[in-house]
Amino acid sequence: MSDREFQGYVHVRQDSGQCMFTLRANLASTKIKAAVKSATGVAFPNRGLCEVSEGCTLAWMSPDELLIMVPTAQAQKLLTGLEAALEGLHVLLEDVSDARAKFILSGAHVREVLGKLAPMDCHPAQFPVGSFNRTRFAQVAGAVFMEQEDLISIICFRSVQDYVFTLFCDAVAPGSEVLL
Amino acid sequence: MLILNCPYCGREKDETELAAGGEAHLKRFGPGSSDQDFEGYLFDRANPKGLHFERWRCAAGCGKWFHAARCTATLEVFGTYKAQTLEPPKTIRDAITAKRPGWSWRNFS
Repeated sequence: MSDREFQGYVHVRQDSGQCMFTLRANLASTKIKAAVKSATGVAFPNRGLCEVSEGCTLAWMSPDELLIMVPTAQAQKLLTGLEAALEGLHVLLEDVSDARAKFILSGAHVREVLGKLAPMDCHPAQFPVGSFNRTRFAQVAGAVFMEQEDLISIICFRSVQDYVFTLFCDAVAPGSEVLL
Repeated sequence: MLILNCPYCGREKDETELAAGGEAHLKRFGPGSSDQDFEGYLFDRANPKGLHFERWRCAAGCGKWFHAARCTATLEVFGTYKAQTLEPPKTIRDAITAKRPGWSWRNFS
């Protein structure tokens, strides 16, 4: 997987240096929360949010699904730690790195580009920094998280990565600014 | 555009992100039930013009099934609630009563 990029009025870049793990478990359980927190060193995210610490990201996907993102270099260590911490609890932990693709949008107008493609409220009051949302980008499902005011991460299935990359390149094409 | 608030992920979702699941609060009649009950469970659906209780799935979101009380004629939404219930919760009933006094739907009122 190559890290392709495109410079429009917002910069689009693929980020293949992240490993992703899916944890299916009851996220309301204090035991699960404590185990994940001790293994990752990241605060447990509340509903609709994500938490980041030292490159490791935890994102709230649904009441029973957590997405754990970590740079590839740290992945094996983290996975071993998680498996140990969750030993004996009713969970399913799976490496989904090869099933997903991640893109990074950066620039002053990232909210507008997101608003062009996803049917969601991108206003800072509704989607502040640190928010995480699962939605769709044009025709395919995806997830988005607001890392910084001018930096958004996009996650989609690997099978539709070409579609999503092309979609965002088109949305950031010079001359297509709305700038309301 | 119909917009529903998913009670699981708490996000406003429009109908393009949702999957419709038909009428809510069906009672299942399986093996051993009478032919009439089984037929009713499979085919007998209300199709009201006005207040309706429906199942929806947060398809492009958290993936959970939830229930919604809405008006099929005006698209007014009275409320959404979690699917782990056999009847609409009191808050939803009160919200409907405030807007549509004397409402009834199947066995609920």
